[in-house]
Amino acid sequence: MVGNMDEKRTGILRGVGITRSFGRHSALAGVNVEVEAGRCLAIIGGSGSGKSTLVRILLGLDSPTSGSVDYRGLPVSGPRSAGYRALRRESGLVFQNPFASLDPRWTVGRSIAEPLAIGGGHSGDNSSDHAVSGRKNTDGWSARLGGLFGMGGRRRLSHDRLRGRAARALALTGLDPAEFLDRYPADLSGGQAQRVAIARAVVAEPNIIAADEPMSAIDVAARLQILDAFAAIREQRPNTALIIVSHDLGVVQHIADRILVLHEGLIEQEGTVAEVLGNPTSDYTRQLVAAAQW
Amino acid sequence: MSVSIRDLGIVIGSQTLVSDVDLDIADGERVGLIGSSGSGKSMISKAMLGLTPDDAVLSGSVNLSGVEAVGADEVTLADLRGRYVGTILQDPFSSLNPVTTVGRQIELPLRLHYRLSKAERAGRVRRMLAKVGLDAGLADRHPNELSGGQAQRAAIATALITSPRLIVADEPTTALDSIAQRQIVDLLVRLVDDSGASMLFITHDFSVLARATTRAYVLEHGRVVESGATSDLLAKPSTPQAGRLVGAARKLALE
Repeated sequence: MVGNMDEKRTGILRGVGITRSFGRHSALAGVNVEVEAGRCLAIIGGSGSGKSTLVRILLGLDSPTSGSVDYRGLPVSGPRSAGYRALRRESGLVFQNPFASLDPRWTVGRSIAEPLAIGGGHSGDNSSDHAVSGRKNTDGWSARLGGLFGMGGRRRLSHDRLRGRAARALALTGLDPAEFLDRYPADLSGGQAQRVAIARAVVAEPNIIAADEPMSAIDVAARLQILDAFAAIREQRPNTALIIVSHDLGVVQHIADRILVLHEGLIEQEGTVAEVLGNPTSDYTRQLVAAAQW
Repeated sequence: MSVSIRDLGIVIGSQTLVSDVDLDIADGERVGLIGSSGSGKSMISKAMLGLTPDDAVLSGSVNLSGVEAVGADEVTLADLRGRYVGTILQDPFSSLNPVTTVGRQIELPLRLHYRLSKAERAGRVRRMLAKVGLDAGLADRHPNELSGGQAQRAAIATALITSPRLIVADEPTTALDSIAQRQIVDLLVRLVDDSGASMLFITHDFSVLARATTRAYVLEHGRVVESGATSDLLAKPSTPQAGRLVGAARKLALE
């Protein structure tokens, strides 16, 4: 278990009675969920279980038909709400297909640094910003990022600082910044591209990282590297909350603290990894466990 | 149908994608081809079907029960694909025509390659739907009205409707959730064994390979690095490449 169990646990993101209907179809039917700082919650279910809809609603990317979400006690209810604005700044997202998340025309370094230039997250410490800055502004991306996004009252970060922060985030995922910062997505394998997408999600030191099926499109050998990247994040950023959405209990067994099993929009079971794997209480959870067994 | 591949090489431009591959599938055998993304496994299956890109240069031999596929003319290849080989791909929603009902989709290979009456075709489609575990009522639905698992069952029905002698299944479970994955592998194995056909099963996941095949080839950078009984590969992989794939699959499965 990576999380510090002695630390007082705090729910930082909370969904209460979340219902979401699409026409007559009910994707979520009154789901309660709490995401704690420093813990990893796995939301598990098959296709159509409502798991992606739940995460989108928790992160303010979709609105519930009824029910509410709050982040650090602030309501998340539409783009102007205080909770939504805080959440946008303080959360990072990882999607299933890394090549769809990364701009093919941007270098890895530029893609990773973009959230900083937009102005998200904490300022971070600058102790090692120059350690890997290596090249000067070879493709001019920091100036363009600054020009495009460095408005809104936040101070612009220098190229070296952007590059240093991108390098540190990339190193956290196990990729060598010297080798990868100046590459383009086309030169990466699926596993490498997903680690770049993870670096981009963590670069602004968010309080919450949500990953929707981050390993489904990646081959099995590379999935371990993705898991290692998440484990390193948990170790080095012990207060970060992690939400991982997956259909596969086997994949999340090593990283999650708690598991929430979702089926047809309802919670089938919720508990620690040991509780859910050791004592599946519904037919559906038993099927999920069986499907993940060797 | 038996398959005998000898010295297969596939080159596109200056890139060698596959080299020196020897691979055999006996009549009625289920054989796996496993490797990471980009190892060349799909390219080998495309060479078997005559579906490599136009600019690919093939060398060596791919012999399917006496018919040479490398360098064969399009008529021979189309007949081979239509009547003797059934193909199942990763994403059922891109295999199925979105504007055609499931029933018509499954019936199409019969219309193209066999002279059967409408009633005979309808009967075969009905029986095939039952075999793949789909309700007869789904025949009138379109692919967008199906779940991923149902769509892959419809794709399997389409591939098997002509009673092919060889099934090429290229990552048929990768796009499905874990419960549907297990169901689809078990279904395929049962249908292939019942029909006596051979199968080439392509995957990157040893836990899937273990259920689907009895013998397998491990591919890396377009070359076969190890082959043997699947159970032996799992128990005692002798190359680091196979060891890595086995280790990853074991770690990501529940005991």
